[in-house]
Amino acid sequence: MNYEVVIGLEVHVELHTQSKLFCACPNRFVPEPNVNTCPVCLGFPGALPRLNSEAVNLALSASLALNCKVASISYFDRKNYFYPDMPKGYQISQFFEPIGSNGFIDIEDDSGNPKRIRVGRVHMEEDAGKLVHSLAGDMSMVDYNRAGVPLIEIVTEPDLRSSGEARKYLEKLKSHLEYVRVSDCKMEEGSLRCDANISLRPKGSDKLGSKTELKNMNSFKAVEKSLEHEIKRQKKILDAGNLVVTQTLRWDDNSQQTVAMRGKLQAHDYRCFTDPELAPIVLTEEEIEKARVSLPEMAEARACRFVEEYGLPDYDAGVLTASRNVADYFEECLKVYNSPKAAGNWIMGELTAKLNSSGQEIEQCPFRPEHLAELLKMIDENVISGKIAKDVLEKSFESGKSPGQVVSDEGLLQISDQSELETIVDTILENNSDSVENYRSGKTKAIGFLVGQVMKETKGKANPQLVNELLKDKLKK
Amino acid sequence: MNLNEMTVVKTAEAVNNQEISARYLIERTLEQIKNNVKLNAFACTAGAEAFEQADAVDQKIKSGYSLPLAGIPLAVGDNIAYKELPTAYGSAAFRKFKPPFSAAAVEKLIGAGAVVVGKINTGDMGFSSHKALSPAGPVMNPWKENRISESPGSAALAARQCMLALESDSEGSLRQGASSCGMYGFRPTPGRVSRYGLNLSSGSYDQVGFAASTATDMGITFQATSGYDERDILTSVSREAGPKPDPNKAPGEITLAFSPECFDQLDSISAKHLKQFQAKCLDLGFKVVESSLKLLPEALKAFYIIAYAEASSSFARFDGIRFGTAAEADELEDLYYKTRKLTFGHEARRRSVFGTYILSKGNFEQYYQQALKVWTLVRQDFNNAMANCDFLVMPVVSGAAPSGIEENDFLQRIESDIFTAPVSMACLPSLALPAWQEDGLPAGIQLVGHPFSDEILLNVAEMINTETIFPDTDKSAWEEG
Amino acid sequence: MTNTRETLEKAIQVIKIEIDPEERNILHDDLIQFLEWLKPLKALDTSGVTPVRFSHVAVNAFRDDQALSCDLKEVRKAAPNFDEGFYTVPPIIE
Repeated sequence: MNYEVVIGLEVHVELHTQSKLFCACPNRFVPEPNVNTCPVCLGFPGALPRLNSEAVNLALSASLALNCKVASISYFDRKNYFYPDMPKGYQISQFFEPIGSNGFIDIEDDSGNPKRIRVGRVHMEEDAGKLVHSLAGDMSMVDYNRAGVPLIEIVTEPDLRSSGEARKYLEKLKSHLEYVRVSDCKMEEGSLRCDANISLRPKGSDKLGSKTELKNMNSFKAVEKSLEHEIKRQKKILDAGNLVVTQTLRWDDNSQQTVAMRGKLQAHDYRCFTDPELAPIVLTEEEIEKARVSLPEMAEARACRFVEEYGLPDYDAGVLTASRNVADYFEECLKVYNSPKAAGNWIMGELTAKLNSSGQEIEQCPFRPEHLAELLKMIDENVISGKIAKDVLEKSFESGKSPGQVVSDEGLLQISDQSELETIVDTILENNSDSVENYRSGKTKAIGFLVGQVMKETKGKANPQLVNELLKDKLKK
Repeated sequence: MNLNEMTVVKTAEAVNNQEISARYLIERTLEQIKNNVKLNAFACTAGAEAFEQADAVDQKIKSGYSLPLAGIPLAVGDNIAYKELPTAYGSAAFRKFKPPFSAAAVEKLIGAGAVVVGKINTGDMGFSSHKALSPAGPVMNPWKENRISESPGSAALAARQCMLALESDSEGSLRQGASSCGMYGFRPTPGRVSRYGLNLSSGSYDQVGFAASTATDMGITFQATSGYDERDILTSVSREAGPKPDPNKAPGEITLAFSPECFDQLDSISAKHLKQFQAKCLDLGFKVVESSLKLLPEALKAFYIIAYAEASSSFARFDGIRFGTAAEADELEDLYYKTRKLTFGHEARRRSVFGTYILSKGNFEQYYQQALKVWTLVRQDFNNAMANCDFLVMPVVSGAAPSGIEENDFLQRIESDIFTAPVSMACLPSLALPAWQEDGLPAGIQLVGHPFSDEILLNVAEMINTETIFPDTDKSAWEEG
Repeated sequence: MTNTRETLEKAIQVIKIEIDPEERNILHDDLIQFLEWLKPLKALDTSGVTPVRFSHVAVNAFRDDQALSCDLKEVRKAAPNFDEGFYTVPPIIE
């Protein structure tokens, strides 16, 4: 039978704040357990939650970036359940009145047509701690460093129809959230986590089939793979005339398949009610509008502008705007260097390669936009060759020195002095009479070899154009 | 100098003038606690820490400082954190527990010169109103054999085992105990005094309050403790102090309202006394009017639905993992079940279970959600009643102080909160002040004010100026001096 | 078993407290009484009434986003079972 796939995603994103959601404990990863804790996030009797204003600002920005309606009054509720990683016996979350609702993200479906994915809600909540199980199996250990870290949960309507759409949605979502600087969205590090609800139904039916929940997918690739796997699994079950059992499954990266989770199976009655220890968040129309106006230009708009304003090809504009930090780097460079195509090529090529191999982020790497501008100017002004420029970038990236400094320290200035080059060219011609013969007998390609020899002799510093001219001139004689 | 019946104001003045030392006061107080140990008012008493604090106060005064509560012996409720002494939260599992921080109100009182002489015996998990339910046994009323006090702080205060007590008030235990011990018990407007350090069972209704022996003493205590505290963000409503009382205001410019429905809810003896009190207010020159409170029974019911629901959630944190005593267990579920049995007494178990019942699927709408709506109606009811007056005068309880010995059913105990719990629900400041005596037992009335009128309320209580009478307990420790 | 009893037993399970059979019976009897006592409240007409959400009047009670580390010496002393930086519990199979 032909089935339609129905997928809804629940994404948890760690908000990029200095401190936790309800206490001043630092919000950053530390390897040592239970260091970022205090009586509030450990749930001590008498310690009271205090809402972080920046978390609210970020949740507001995220809601607006996802085209949500922002609630003029929202508040926090208690979601009650016991688990050792949940210090108070309840999670503080926005259950009844989320800060954002009825938003959307536009993607392209698998055939490239535009498609709108509805975002049902965006709400704030606190993260739980982490359980570690002892090797001997005699106890479990709890680390509360993460307990109380601010999260937003972003829930789609069941609008996604394939694993590819799910991936595109996640990429778009990540880009949006990065652009508004809400989170660094690193799935591998857990700052973006994705759960999926998935079911199949006969094509044309409007009734939802019984669904399964997928957890523990720690990369976009894993999301795509596990969804594909789950689609196949459900299809098999349905084709055999059986019913899909509603359950929670975990993606196992090692075996590349979904596994049923043993714990957390029973359906919880969370007994949610409004937390009386916190005050409601009240946002006026003006405040919401002010936040909306101060949203940055988002990726799509920026890519369009790059095409129009800088004359970049669509592809380049897309790559350069995928990350806000890369796009910022690019435009920062253009402030002092006026050739967008060259700057873009160097960022997408040499710089990206260097960043990948060193594992650094563009916003932190020592090779700043003004360094790139300086480097490109030196090429344009024939101070160095393009080939030398690659070495200069490498050295500048590693040492933090400016490209000019690297060139002078390493003596990499291009040799454009005619008499100096003539002497070298003469020596090369003398020592390579075979090639000279070949050239003169019509095999003009031999000039390439001779140029190479000159470059070798000058360690690449010779002005290649000048060398060419000199050689041609002398070979004529 | 006989300090037996001295007020906080006069005692602090004597300490500030170096007529007596804080150390001496604490010595006498600890002796007095020992001599009246049968009241069972204290869960633990201070030793060296108290003398250290007292000496520090004396030292400060010698170097020229003056402190509003210099040397005043203070008793602190055992559900309020104080890091120098064990804080048991009214739980057997926390008998030796020292919290890592002190409550904001404790810190402020110590900062004003008070010295903590002990932690007072609190009911099961702080549910002191529900009487005789402390793991350490009931706190006896110093006025009469076989009677208990719902506010152990007021019992200690009446027996001169302290001059000031810091306690919590939710359904009205503080006000009720103050009333049955002939003392003043104050529940401030929510947000005026930081709750940081109070083990909250109901975030909606639990407040930090005080027991003192005069309205003036209450006034300086409130002044020393109220205001914004960054650790209790809800005190942000107190960034500005409440309206200041006008010292020149005559009773004739103040309107007190009595509610006919309150009379209906009282037994005949209490009703007679309340009528007499009403006459007294007229004699004092106050304007007296009638105001109807139509929803007291409904308010009480809604109050308990919400209080139980919140308690079941708030006390989920007692799981034996991060603090307290953990039961021996091989499995996680076992750890929860056994630890929580160890931690909670019968009343805390009841509240946890009933609260869970109320919030369960199928019950949430008909009980909890309905209670929230009734809460709105209760607020309107009080707003209407207070629209044409400055203060409501209400009873605290019907009849005399309860006996803790006889086993009365739990609904009866709840019903005795009919005058106090609705006031908590209306989020109004309320002061219990001594009003009459019957059969050797004192009883008080509640003066209920508009939100944030706390200072004016305490000022009007001074104008009513009832004489504080102390029971005939052993006071030899004080008389020696 | 009655509906009330069943829900009560479930509530005891959910809230994870060991309660012996005798006390369960007392709780059941009290609960029956309590629910009976609540009947007039359930019957009260509240249509169109907005529920109260907060006892206090504070709104937007925020804290500035500043990180501060806490002195954990006393905090950790409170833990019944603490081992090499971790709070420990009986083994959990996930």
